[in-house]
Amino acid sequence: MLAEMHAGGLDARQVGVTRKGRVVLRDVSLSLGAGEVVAVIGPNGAGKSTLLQAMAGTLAPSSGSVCLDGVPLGSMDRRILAQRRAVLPQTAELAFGFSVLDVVLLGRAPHGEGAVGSRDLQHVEAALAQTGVAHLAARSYLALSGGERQRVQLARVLAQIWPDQEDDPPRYLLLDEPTNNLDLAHQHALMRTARDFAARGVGVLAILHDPNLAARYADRVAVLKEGALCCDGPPDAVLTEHLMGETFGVESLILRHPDTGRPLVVPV
Amino acid sequence: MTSISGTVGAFGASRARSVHERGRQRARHAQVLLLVGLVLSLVLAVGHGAVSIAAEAQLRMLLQAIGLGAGAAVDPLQHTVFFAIRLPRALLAVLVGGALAVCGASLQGLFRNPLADPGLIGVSTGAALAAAFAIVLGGTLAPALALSLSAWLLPLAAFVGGLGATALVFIIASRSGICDVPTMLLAGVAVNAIAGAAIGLLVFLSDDAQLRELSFWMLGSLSGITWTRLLPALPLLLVPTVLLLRLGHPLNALLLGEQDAGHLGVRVERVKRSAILLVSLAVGAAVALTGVIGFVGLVVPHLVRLLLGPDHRVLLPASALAGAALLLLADVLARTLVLPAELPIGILTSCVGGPFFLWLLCRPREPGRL
Repeated sequence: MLAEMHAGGLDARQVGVTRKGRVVLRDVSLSLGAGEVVAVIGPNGAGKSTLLQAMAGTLAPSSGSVCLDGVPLGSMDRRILAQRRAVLPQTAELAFGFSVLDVVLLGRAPHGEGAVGSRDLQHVEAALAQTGVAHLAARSYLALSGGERQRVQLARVLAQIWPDQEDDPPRYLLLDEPTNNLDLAHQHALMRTARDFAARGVGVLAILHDPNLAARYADRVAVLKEGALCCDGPPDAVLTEHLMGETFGVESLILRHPDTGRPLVVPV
Repeated sequence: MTSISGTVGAFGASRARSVHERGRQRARHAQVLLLVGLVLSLVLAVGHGAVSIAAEAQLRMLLQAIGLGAGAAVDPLQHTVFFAIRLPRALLAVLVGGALAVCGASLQGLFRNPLADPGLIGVSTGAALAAAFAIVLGGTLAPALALSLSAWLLPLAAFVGGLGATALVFIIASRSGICDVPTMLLAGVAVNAIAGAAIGLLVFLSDDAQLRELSFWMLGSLSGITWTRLLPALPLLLVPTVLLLRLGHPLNALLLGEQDAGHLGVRVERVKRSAILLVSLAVGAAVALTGVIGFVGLVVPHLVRLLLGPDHRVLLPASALAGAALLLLADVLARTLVLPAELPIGILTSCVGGPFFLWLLCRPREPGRL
């Protein structure tokens, strides 16, 4: 029984997901600790988003379980869960022309139904500044470019789990292809933001397509292939020429970053 | 992303707060203005007509009715017109107008579709079908019904028919406890079409008198309302509308999409179920009393959104006030334009609402914003 117990943090144990008879995830165990940045990489259709949905508590796994500090997500109050983990969607729609400020304020929804408090505004302002969209606060969300929208959505999820006090239980940030639509500078700015949050005790799980972003910013890299987890470890150990060839079908050289010493994947 | 926007930070922080304050202030002002507008419309609606009653006389009668203020005795004719005719009718207009507007705003939010109106979930057409049954076949199927009972048959049938059609749409769109909103939209269209065909058949079967009654009913009217008819429906109009006002917060979150609303802790299925139930109760009761009044539920939320933005916490109460005022004014026109006859109010609301909606579509606007 002991072996089945869940560790602290956000912990997926032997998660399987079957959709219309098709196995999407098979026996995936992945843990996300406080203060950690974990990158999930893998080819298209490998089940990355499904894993993120399961770890967000949106999707009940067909087998296995996902727990937050030992409590199964399915049995948690949705609002308590929303106070502790935020999810950045791949694409964000919005039907009506909310202002940027109102969109980011939605992130504070789980923290009180009533009027917007001073602390809510404080966190929202900080999140707007963090993602560099403070100057857009009064603009309509629908008038923004794809990259600006992505940064506004990021500000929203940051505001949702913005750390309040030192002794708060750790919070978790799940990012589904967060670098979509972002230019190179903003891709790196986003990953630095993820690292900042990790330094403040937030656990970050990010689905990435660029192995070099994963290598540069993640503590651990998890690789999904055909619904199964095939590697999980530090970038150094995971990102090998063998893996790039086997999993992605991309013959690559692995070099060393001259400054950080981290692996650098160069397709040949 | 501090490295990119470090300089924007301080400026942006104070800006966000002021943007928020400005928005709140604007909403407060608009709400006060709408409330004043509603009160003025009420005074006009109650005072205007064949027997005109000055505002001061209205106040005096109201005070006397609750045992306050003596003052001069009131003209008995004025007294009767005021209490027996104008007041219930004005109250009906306020409740129905407010309910239709709030229901429209809620459904537009729920469906994330600015073209949604309360009829979309089948409630109006279902009610109309049941009403057509009651009008055309009621007399033949139950000739023994006492006269007092048959007065209740039509509204009761309409209410039940409206709820039934919505329930059907909801069940069709639900799979294993989850209501699929796009399916619900399509199911609503289909159920409306079927009910429309059945109404057509009943029109075909009806005699001239029935046809006339049915046609007028489909155009909506507030005439002939009495306290005895209004009072049983009052809670059915008022309670769902007030409960819908409380859904502002989750409806805002739902604009992000159901999944993201779920991530924010919103119990999406519960919100959907309660919104649809409340809308069908309120619209069902409204249609049962007044027939089908078009465009209020569609246009009023748009009008308010145009002035105050899409935040449902502001939009819902403001729509309630605006819808109430608008229907009051439309009813004043309906009963005074072609004296001594009365125009069906649905003609007026559609006549004003249609062109307004076209203007809304044609005017220059931000991309994707209606």
